[in-house]
Amino acid sequence: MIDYVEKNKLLIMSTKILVSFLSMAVCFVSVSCMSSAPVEGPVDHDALYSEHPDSGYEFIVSDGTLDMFLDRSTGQFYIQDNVNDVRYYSNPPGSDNDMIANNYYKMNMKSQIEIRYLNPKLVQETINNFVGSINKGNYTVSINDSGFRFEYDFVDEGFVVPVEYYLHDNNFYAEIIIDDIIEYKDNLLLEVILLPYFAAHDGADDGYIVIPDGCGAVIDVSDRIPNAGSYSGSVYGRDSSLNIIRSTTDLPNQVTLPLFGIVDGNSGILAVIEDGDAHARIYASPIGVNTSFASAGASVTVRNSDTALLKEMTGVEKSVTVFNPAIAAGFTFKVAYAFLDEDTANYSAMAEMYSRRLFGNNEVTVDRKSLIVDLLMTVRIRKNFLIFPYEGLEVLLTSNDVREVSDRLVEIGYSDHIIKVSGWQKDSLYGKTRTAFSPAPETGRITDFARLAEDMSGRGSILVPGFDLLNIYDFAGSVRKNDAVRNVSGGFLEIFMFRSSTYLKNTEIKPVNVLNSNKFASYYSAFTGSVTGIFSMIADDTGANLLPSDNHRNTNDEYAVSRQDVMENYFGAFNSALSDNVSLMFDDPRGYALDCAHTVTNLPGSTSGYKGFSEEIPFVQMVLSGKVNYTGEPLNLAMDMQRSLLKMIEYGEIPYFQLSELTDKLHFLPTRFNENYSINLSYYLDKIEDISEFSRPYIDAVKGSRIIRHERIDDNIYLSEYSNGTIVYVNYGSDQYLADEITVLPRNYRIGGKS
Amino acid sequence: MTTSFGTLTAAVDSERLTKSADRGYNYDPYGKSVPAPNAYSLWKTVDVRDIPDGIRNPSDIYVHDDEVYILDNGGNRIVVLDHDLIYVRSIEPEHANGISDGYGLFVHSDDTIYITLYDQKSVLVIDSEGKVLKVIGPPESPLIPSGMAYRPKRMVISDDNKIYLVAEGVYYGVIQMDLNGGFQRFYASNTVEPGIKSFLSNMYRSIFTNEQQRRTSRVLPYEYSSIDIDQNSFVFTTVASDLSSSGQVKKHNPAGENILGLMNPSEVGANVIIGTGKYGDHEVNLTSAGYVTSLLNDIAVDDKGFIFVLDTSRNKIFNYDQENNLLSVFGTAGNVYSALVEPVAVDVLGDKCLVLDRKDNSLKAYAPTRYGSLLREAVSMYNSQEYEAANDMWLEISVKNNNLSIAHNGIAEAALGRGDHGTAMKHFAIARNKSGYNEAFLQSRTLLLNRVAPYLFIVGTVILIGLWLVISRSTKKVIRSISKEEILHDIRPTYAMIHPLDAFEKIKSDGKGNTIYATTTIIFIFAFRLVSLNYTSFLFNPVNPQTINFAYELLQFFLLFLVFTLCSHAVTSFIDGKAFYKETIIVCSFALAPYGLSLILSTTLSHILSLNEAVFFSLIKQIGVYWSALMILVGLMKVNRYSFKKTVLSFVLIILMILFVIFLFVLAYSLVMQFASFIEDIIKEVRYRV
Repeated sequence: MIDYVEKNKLLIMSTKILVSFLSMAVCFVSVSCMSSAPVEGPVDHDALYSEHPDSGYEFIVSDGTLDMFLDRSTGQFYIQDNVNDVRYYSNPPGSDNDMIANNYYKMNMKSQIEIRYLNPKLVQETINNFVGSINKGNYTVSINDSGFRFEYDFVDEGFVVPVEYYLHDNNFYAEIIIDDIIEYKDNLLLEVILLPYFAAHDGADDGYIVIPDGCGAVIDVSDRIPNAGSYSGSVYGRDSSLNIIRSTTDLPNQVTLPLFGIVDGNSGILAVIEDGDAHARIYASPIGVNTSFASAGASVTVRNSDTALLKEMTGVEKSVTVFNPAIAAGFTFKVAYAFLDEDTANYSAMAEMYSRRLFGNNEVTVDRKSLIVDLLMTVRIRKNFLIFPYEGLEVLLTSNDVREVSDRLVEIGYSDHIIKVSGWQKDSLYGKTRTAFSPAPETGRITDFARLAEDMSGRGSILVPGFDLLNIYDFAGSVRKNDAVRNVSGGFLEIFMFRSSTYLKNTEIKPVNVLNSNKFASYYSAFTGSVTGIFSMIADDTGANLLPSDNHRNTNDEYAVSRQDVMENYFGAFNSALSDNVSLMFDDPRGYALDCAHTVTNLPGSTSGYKGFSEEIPFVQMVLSGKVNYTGEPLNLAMDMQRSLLKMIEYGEIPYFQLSELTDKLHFLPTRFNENYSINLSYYLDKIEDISEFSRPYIDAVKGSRIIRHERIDDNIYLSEYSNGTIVYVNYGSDQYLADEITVLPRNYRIGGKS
Repeated sequence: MTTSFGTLTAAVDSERLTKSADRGYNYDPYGKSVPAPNAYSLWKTVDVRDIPDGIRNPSDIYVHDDEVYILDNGGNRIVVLDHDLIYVRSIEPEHANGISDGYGLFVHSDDTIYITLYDQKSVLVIDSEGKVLKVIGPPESPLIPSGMAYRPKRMVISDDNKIYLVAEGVYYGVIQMDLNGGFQRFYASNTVEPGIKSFLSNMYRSIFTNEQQRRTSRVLPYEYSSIDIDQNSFVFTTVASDLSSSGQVKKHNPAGENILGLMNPSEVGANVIIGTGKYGDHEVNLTSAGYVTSLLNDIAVDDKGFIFVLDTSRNKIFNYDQENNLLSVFGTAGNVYSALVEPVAVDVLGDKCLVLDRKDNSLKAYAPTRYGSLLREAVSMYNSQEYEAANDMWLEISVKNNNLSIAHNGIAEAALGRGDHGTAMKHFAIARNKSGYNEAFLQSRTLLLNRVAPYLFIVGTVILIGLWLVISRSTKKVIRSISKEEILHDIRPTYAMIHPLDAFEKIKSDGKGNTIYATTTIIFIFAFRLVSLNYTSFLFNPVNPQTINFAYELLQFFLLFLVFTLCSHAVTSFIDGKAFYKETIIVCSFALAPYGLSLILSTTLSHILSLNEAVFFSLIKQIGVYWSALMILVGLMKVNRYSFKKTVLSFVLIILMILFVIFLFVLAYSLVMQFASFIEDIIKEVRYRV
């Protein structure tokens, strides 16, 4: 491998070194010129600078509410929030005296970026810019109208990483220009962590870090959870083409939205990754784990790498490091930091800020429905014709049955329901990739579905066909092997089921491949075209949650499609549907798809399970509240339906069920169908009626409004306040609770507030 | 976290990260894991934040009088929590050597505390204030082999004040002592599992010298890993090794015998393993270090008789009833907050299960979910044979978990009780419960017979007489016509079945064998075999029809036929046989006709017979097989012009040659697979490195 690297990189490296020296020389000249240029800014800030107690910092720029100061000798800076009179440091002051941090972390605390790279022996190493660049004087800084630009030159490692820091629109931005990164030695840059200690919390005041992991969670600065370690999670979940999962015990954390926040008393920051989000990770560290500070930051993965297993002649598997030859290109990594005040320094306000950023300022935009039911129409099972076995459809529901279910739901009082139908395809769920709505004849004709959709629409309900274009179960028709995504080792990405018992791959069930994003986009518009005029909404089961980079190498030996580009292709697909006036329903969506959604199901109701989380919060739900119909896990598959119902109410969700009619042939099938362990339609239709009585007051009270506040008011007691003044109290405990003069019965909820 | 129907797939399932390692599961009757709702969920975690000075390196817990005692080795103390797991007090034993090597903990009904000290090879007895009452050293008795290693692990005391102690290095059984440490006996001794390894070992050792014997490893019984006692003083034990075929979990009667009801594998059918005494995970994984299986290292039994077994290999708890039914699996490995890092001990507090984690220095309490509570209640009623009362619960449980076989057993038992045999048989079949199905079937058949009995005798007699008349005449005609036909035309398998000597003689001497008949016969027999596999009644079908692989059956059947005929021809050609290959094919295919007939007959009969009459089913199949074997023997003798003695010799040689060919096949297959794997690895390596 070393030989390979050396031989293949030699020419490129030589060129790069030459280029880098030239560029550095140019930079040096330009920086010298720029540095000596007069800094423009309000006059009173010069005075402020001269009076500033932090020696070494110079005033750089102001946008009226924020001032930026920089210490050129250390690269450290701070942002002065003049409105709230709070100062946000890039690096915690006094790191040398930190009682907890060891020398490594003390150096880290002085850095603005930290890089992870592969050395020529393909061993991962990390170094921060303080040790690798600043301390050695190998950097250039240039001041401009809105801020300054640093080029950190890691001379020993052979990287130049340019970062721009600037103020814009009352926000502070930090931006890594990926295309300008230079590699001029044999090391391979993998990841850059940006401002890991910006606005770090020293624990003096109350506060917490907000991470939208799963549904969302907070790390309280006063909480000292043993063995918690640091947190890191991939934005939008891991890239399936990398870090191949070999055991479910090693599942990485999953960040749903591209942001994090730090609340420090009555101030704090909300950091949103505005570009490069598909390549981002969020890092966080509770107080006492590495340092005396609670900190959070974001990173960007600039090169895909992984370990692949290679079997030696002895049969023993050996891991081999594999990587993409080139750095991902075509995007920057931009993080916007908004500064919080007394009113906004809480997670409810953060969620609202992000919601406005995502959906605009319209108050409520969604036509909120009261119930979502997902009906499985067929399943493919093994059958016998006399003595000859074959794979055949077991029809569980027809379009007439769906109509009956809809009628029954109207009778119960859910006239405004959504019914999603799955398994309508000719070969059920796990067959060929279908690019048109062509139902299995046994379930009904297109005209039957069309009539049903029309009738349901007439009474305020929606019929939604579910489809899955990304997963390739069968290479057939126009889907060829070359259309499948490749992982970083060059092989086709195969996604396996995992056994709950051994935590390992279930090789008895065939893995599936994933369609590349270009094909996905074209198939999407084909499918959308086939349903236009029949259905007003379609349910995309995978496009919003499976975001793998495609490492198919092109002739230049570079990425074919980076993860960021895959996301853009998905956007193109989603928008083609929206432009055809077809709304979208997503299953378990990540943040990148939310602003295209009308309805989402299976939103995470909990977190990935990081030990350091103090509390789970419905952050993602609050972002979506009032803008999108959303729901969590199906109640029929919940561990405890009563508790899940209460959680649904606490999180402002819509009741959701996944149902079908079981037949005797469906017991203990050695298929994926076993996952449906509790979907009995007739049983749960009665349950829906029971639940209706329980949840109807909540549904009526909060309809047409959004959550503006969520709070834990006591152990097992939660409060959700809505924009119409309704307050919902939820009591998970076994004792009744008196909240604001309202008695909330055990394992129950009460409506309070204005309504 | 679950998936939508559209995404109940591999693709997304592995992407779902929210506690997905913590998903509930159970096993289907064939030992395949299937998803299930969680019957227990994490209720509370007690860690260093909840206990003054925390706990360090704890090794055991014991629940006594609604209080939880934790053996805190690192703190040299015992920490006591109340039933809400709130810290109450700690007890610091006044023992000079400390209790840092403490392994097991037991609190007697008189509040005396017993601590087994692993390295100190003793049991420390203290009062509730920590004052040392006595130290019980290694047991002494002429019955104890000299040099017996003794590292006490866990112990219990019965109502009649007998100490039962399991220790490392003691493979003679559980050590039974009085309260003063006086040795009484080895209780519930495990025996050496009979097997090839033990057989060979004993054979070798018998010819070794004493010195050689001393140097070789012996096959020894498995030693116990843990022990618990229920409120009726029944002792429960675990054996860590999953190689113990007599069951890793045992409930001992006073005589030491295992009284957990184990089903004989032959009663439940091939591939069905539920209830047969297999504990822990049935699915294993292969690593470079070998197979990773469950290691059952602690056990606890609650007041209602539910058994909790701790698997320290995969960090899980398996929950069984006293009928060996696996009710639920909970706990998980990994790095999520609910994960167990290094669990060492398990106990029960009411309906909650407590698990002590040595590495995480924490105590995790799991409480039954609503589904779990319902399951506990239903199982309690089922095991006390209140089937009808439990019926509604089982119905609800089966709705909540369609994959749970014991729910179907419960529904079936209730249906059987109220005489709904159809429902009972349906659900017993789903649960693969043959004995239950048999009972329902018998009752159903008896009812039917009773209903038709008055007419059966008369109608039956008339039919039989009629049949006899028709058959006796027509049979004679048929036989005559067949005989006549065979003289004029080619021999048919029907004639060969009745007149094998004559038929095979004519095939050889008159060339009356017909390959079309032979081919048709062999195709029909294959079809009959498939019919038998697919349509034999559940009671008699050893395979799961859902898993029959048509291609495999086809290959197996015709390959075996081909190998047999080729080997037969090769061998007989070598020893002066006169048969042509065509004749061998015809003989072998005709000879299989009785076997095919027996398949059809037995398949039909399987729907009439109960297990009580299984002998008839077996008899028909065996007659078919022996008849066919005899026909092959006769056929080969005739077409090769062999004497009987030579035929037998050739038969033996044919068998040996078949075995040799199979060996060659396996060898070739293995080589081809290795070569293919080698090529695949080269391609991979080239792809990774170039």
